Amino acid sequence: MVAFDAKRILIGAFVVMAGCSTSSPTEDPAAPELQLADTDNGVSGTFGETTFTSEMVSTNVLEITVKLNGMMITALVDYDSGVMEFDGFAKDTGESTQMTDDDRAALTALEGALAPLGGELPFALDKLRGFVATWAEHPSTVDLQSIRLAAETRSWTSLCYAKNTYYPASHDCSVDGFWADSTTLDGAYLSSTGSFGGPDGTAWYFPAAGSYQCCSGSWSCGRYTCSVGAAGWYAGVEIDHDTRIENAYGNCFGVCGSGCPGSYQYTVDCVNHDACVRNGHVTASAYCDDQFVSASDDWALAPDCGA
Amino acid sequence: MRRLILALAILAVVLAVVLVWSRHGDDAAEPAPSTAAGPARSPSIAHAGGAARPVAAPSGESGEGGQSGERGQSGESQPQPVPVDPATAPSPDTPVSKPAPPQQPFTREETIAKREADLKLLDDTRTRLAADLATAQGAGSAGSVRELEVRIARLAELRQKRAAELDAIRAGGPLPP
Repeated sequence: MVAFDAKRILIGAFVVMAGCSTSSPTEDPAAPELQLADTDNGVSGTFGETTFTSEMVSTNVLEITVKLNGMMITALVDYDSGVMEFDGFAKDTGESTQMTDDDRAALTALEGALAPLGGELPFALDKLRGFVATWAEHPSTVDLQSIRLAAETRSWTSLCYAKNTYYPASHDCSVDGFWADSTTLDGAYLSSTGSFGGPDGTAWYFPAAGSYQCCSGSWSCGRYTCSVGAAGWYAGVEIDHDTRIENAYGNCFGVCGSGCPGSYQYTVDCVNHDACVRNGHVTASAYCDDQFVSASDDWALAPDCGA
Repeated sequence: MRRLILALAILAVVLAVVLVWSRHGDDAAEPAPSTAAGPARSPSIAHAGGAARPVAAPSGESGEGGQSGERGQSGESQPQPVPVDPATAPSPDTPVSKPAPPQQPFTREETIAKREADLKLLDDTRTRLAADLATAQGAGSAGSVRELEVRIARLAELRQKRAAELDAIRAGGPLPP
């Protein structure tokens, strides 16, 4: 159960912060601005064409709505019973729909606008940010309508204790199952280190000079050979299930959500999801569907471990 | 003249088939979702007052089908690794944390209890949205009215679906993943 006091949701300060943190006269005048406003029990706002609300609609139920690209996505979280209902549909007709590249791009942009707001946010705003950051990686092949039954150590497990250490990460896919050499990193370094650029913003440890399996591609990873002249940490590429690569870090590896969303929820499911989408699969790859589903409730419940 | 028109029509059909077939070859690199019964994806569906939305594709099953080593698109860049600043890298004596214990699935009894709570959540949400709808109707807010009507209808459908799922679980059916 989550204890909170709705009266402590002080959005006003963050309305000011949002206005200051977004585009200034010296930046691109066409860039959207994040606008936040108080509601009775949470926050509403806009970012370009995207609109959103996040409110405690009762003492124990959080409701989030995000409208973008003709779609509404919703989240209902009952903190007493640990039940979550997610949905996504065409806003005007109620027809079922699916997440597209444009939708993920819009959510990633909104995540980027929310990230600079800092670590100590009012509850509803903090959860909005976590939801948006997670849904920014929602595969097209996962149904937008789903139910999640949640509880600690049953559907999510915090890894705050593993922050700034190495932690094993794995996934299952067509290459192999969980904990096979090709799908496993013996140690992903869980940290708030930012992006190194490249496909996933991740740095990899190459244990010796030579050629390795990398991949590139905007919608599927095409394997090719990449080479290094000496052992060490390198970035700018995506490794493709190379059994010699065992360590990675960067772009907030292990933090729930896409990249570094501004809060730092390290969980088992989020570590494994990052291990999938950064190691031979694109972010929306269907091969990472089950890793996404497993991680899809962590934003709502897992604690913020801090940077 | 009629033969010319017919010939041009046949040529157009052939070109369309070739175009569709070439796109199918690109899409085959990612695994196709499992073909549960459902509407075909139609990206050209227009929705009044909003951007066209694709109709939901059947849900995919990860790791099923497809081929190991996905084929990339032609023309994609193939970057080479670039060294990172060693100052940002983990130190050689960085510890390895002990793995957390495996997460245990919910029992049937726990699943039933949570699913019952889910039905209440849906019922409470419908009640709340119905009140919001009445308020929106009173205020003459057409946009809000439409959105709320859509949400309420969708919730009603979902509630039926969840109730059926719960009945199946109570009857001893397999627990959903």
